Amino acid sequence: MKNILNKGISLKTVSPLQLQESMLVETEEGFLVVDKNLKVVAVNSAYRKFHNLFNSFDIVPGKDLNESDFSSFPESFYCILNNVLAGETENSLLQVEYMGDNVLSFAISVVRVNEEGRNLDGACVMVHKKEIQSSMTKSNQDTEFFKLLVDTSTSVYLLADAALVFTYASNAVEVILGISPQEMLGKNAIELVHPDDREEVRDWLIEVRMHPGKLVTHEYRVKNKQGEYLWIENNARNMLNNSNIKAIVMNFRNIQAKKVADHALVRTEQRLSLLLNNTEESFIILNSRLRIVTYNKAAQDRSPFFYNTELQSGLSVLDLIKEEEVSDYIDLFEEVFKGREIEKESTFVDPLAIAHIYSHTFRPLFDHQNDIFGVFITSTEITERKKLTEAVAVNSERLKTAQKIARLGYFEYDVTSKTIFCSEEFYEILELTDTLQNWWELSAIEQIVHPDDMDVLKSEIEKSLLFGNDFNLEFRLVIKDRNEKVINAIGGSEKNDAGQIVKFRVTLQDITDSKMAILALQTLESKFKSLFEHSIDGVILSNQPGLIISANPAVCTLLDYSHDEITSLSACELLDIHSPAFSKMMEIRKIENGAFMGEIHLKHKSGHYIPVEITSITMTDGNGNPYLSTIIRDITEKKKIEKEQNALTEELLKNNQDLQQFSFITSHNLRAPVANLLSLLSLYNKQNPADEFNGLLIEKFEEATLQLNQTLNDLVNILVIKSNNNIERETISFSDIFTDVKRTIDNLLKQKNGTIEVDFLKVDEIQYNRIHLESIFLNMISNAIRYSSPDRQLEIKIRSYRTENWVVVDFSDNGLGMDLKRYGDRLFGLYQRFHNNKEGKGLGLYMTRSQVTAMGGKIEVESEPGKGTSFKIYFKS
Amino acid sequence: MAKFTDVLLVEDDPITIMVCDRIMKMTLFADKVTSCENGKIAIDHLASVREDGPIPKIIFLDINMPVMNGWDFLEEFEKIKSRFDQLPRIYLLSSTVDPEDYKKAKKFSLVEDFISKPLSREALEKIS
Repeated sequence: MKNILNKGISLKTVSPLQLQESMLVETEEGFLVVDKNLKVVAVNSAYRKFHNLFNSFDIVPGKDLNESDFSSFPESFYCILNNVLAGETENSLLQVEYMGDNVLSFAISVVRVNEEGRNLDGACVMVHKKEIQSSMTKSNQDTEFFKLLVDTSTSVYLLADAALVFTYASNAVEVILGISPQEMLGKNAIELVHPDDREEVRDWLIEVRMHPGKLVTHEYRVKNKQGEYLWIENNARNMLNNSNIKAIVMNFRNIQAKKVADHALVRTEQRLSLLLNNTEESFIILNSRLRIVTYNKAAQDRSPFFYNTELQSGLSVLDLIKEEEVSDYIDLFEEVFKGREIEKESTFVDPLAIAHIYSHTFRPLFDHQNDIFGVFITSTEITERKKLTEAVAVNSERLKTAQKIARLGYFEYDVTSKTIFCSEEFYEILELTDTLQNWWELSAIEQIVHPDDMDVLKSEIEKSLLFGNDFNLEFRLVIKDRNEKVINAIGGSEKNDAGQIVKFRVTLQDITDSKMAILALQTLESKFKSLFEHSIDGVILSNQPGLIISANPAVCTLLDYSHDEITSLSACELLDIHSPAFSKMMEIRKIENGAFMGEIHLKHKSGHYIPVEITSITMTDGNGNPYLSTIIRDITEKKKIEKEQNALTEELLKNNQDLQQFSFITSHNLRAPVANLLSLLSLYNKQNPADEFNGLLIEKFEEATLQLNQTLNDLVNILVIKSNNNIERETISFSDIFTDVKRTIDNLLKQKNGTIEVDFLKVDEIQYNRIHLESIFLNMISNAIRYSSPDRQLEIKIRSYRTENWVVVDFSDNGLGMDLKRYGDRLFGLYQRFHNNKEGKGLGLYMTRSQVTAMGGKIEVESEPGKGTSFKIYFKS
Repeated sequence: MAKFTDVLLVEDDPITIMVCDRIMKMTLFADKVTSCENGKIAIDHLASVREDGPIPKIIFLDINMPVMNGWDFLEEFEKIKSRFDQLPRIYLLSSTVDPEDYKKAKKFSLVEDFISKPLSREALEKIS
């Protein structure tokens, strides 16, 4: 700042050479240097241009100038120049205007130059064209602007150049300071300032210079023409960068009267201030220009109103407020200056990061004439109180939120004041677009409530209003083009001490969704229920410890338990826990997390087990508890059929095997004689039929042919037995059959000296085929005779008896007996012979077994070599 | 001089025995044909041969015989075969058509081959 000012002020001490050189560089600046005798020492083109605007002749270096050369200039120009040359003033400034097509304004400065070394004593005229008035159109506006300023304002408008030398002053300067505008020109901005204020003013001016475009205000004292100091308020704005202005624009006004008033204010408040400095409540007094007049200790200590700024008398309150809040405060102060009292809250954060909330009251201060001359600000910390109220607010906000979340609509009717309150949700639930103003408008709901529900709703509300009854009901809403809504309304009335109803309240909730869900659930449940109840398959639900929770009727029927009985059991009690199927099930369940599919047995109430097929799955109920759902299917029938099927298959397989075996054996037995015949034929001597060996061959040929015939006959007999499934049955007596058979084998028996002992007392009659039975008896007895022991007398015992399913005839002998370990499997085979007995062909037992099995019976044998044999024939009873 | 001096025929059917005997002699297959009518007799016959005595080089064995059939003979012979220096080659001679019999025959290492009845010259020619 000091440097800037010094530069401006020290123009007069600039050396001519420097000046010349610097001026030559600045070509836009016109200059003319003359010596004491007005002889041109130096001139540049810019000056010549300027000069030629007014004068027709040219100026060249070396020319001697006289008064006539400046005739077209304002008189003052020549005067000033002479004054400078005469040494009366060091420098001087003036403004010259050229009124041509364009109004041009030139700032001219005349400086005395006196350089001993150069032997130059003269003056320098510098001309600077001011573009602010460079165009006609601009000029018009500007003229208007300046005129306005001059005419209306008591404020002084000043323009200063970069060096803070005034280049323009409005007329008001004469009114305020008694100094003519001309006199102001060329004066430095600091010149008239009170010495005590100069330091501050310099700082202020630095700020102005440093912040182009910013309006900066300062109050200070300046000297008037009479040498007295006046308080002014100067607003300056740096417009040097503005191509139209290129100046610092200042505007000041006399605030002497206000300052005096301020001082008075300060004095009057001094006593009060003493008092107030000891209070907790802070106060600040502002003057009408919002500058701090005074403040108390509390205000200073906390600066609650401002931000990290130390309070100081004279500071503008607006400079201390956060920038973003300034406009709010300007509005606020405007209101205060209209006479209103205003409260405002502010927050500031202390160095410990604790937020403090203050409530400020802004009151206008009135003087004797009832004019407002200041503002009285009181501030109280309300942080705690604020917290409390905020807590309340939060609670009510919470309530509101809760209502929103719960989608609860709230309606309240104050009977006394006849006012209603409806929450937002109330409107949303009822889908009302218009706000209800009073009780009677509630009838709007009638149009949307389902007609069937209207009467109930009305009567409940009536009862509540008349008798204070509480109600809880559901009603349906019918809203155009939409599905029905179901609303749950809970309401009641509040009575005062006298028992009169004072308030009626209703909360509403849209329960459509839950209604629908319940309905869907019920449908689903009833579906499952009916599935459960009517299923052919049994269903058992059991819990984790294995207790049966529920069982459907199918299970109860299957196991003959009542529902109550079965649910008092544990699942284990129904299971055969010793069975391998059970352990297998438990094993699989362990692996499959309780899931199992398979066949097990369940215990019937009577104790026997029923084969069932089960599918059990672990499920989780609504509360997350696991339970086992087991579907049970009775497979008794299935098992039975399965068993029958297995038996049948087995029999078929066996029959098939038999047949195959039969075919093998028969073909073998047929091939054997044929092979013999072929061999015999091949040996026959055809060349010599008389060959004696041929006779033997013929003999054998006959034998072999008969053998073949016999084999064929036997096979036919077997085939008859095997293929004839519908053999005729009749009631036959064992005794009769035995008598007939005995007759045929009587000779044989006598030859062996054998005896037969029979006992048909227990069972004598049977439904059977006579021929078969005869054949069986014949074969059994003749076998016993054929294989009798030569060591002892033959004894045959035949007896009949009955078992649960069979009639048994037992043929026992004391004959040769057999090693069943060795021959057992072949005993009943076709053409199996075990004795070297020519009579046996290996057909008898095979025939017998075929005859027995063809009628659904079976044959068993017990034998011991050397002891005898016992055949048991089982006939189906 | 026939191919083999001594051949044993285990066979219960007399016609087959006669025919086999005749054809073996006619074709100079064997000088002497001994026949046994079942396995038991054959085992007894073989067992009675003295240790240093001649044992038949070839045995034709029927399967289906009373008392001891061909299979039982084979099992019994396994038990006594260790006493012979030279073992006979056994040919099963049967009119069986049961495939089980053919399978079973393979189990006995002593069984050289399975010959289907009737015994023909061609079959005998193959045996050397």
